[in-house]
Amino acid sequence: MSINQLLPFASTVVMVVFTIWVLQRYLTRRAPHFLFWGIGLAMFASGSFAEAYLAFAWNRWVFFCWYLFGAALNAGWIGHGTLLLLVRKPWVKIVTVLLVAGSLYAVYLMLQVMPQVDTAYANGVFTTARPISEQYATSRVTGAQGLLPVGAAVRLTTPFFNVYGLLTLVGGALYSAYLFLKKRILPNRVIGNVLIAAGALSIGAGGALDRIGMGQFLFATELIAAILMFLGFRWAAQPQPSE
Amino acid sequence: MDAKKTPVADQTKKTQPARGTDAPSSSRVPQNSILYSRVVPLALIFLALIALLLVLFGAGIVVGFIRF
Repeated sequence: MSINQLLPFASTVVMVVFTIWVLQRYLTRRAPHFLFWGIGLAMFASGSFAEAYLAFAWNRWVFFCWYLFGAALNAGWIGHGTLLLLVRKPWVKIVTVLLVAGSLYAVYLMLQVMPQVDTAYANGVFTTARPISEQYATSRVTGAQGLLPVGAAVRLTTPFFNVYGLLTLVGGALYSAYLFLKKRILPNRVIGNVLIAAGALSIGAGGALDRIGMGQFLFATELIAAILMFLGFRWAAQPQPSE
Repeated sequence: MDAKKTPVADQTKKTQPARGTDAPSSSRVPQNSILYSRVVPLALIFLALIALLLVLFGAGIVVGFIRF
């Protein structure tokens, strides 16, 4: 068993604990940002588990979950949680509707492409010997056959969700860290937000490297992201003694 | 004051130290700390640059400049 087969298991464990911790906070406080964070983190966890599963066996619905939740949607939902925390304006509700509608449309597009995934699998495209991140995409440049065909509409949706998630999650974390640092208050939230931003950028960088054909780094960057974001959220949420 | 009539931003100012928080606290960033005066600002700039590169990369895919 290679290290790349073990990393998604570790990411799954971290993300499941992280998700439960966030959803418990939602149940206690009923703040919507905890709900969106929790849903996004649950998507991240399911994507990690799907990676781990696909290192051992094929299942079309596990692949469905891996691509839809792990590659496409999770960043947007986690980032939207940050937007809900930082911005209390009416237009945020419109963005919420757009995110939910866009996510449902991505589900529809993924369902549409599944017969082509089945055909690719029947043609022997899939192997457990390589990480799923290295074999899902058909390359326009090299022509190497992947599970998803060239120009699959669902693939075109992923940059929208990921750029939105990157802007809101990383932008929100960096902005919060900057504000706290400028006001010289809450050092735990300064460090916590830096860790959250670093974690989100880790998975963002992993996804970008995957896009250019270096998928072997994706699982390591996911685990780094899971650990850094969990530490960051925990650190930022720590109660500080009053002076 | 009636909470229902108070704008959210006002509530935030009165009950929380800054936006982006979910629990009030009054702890301060240590004075003359290299971590907070040097390391964290540099980390923020570095992370912002990485984020900018990734956003440009994603935007390049969306508009079709980058193809795979």
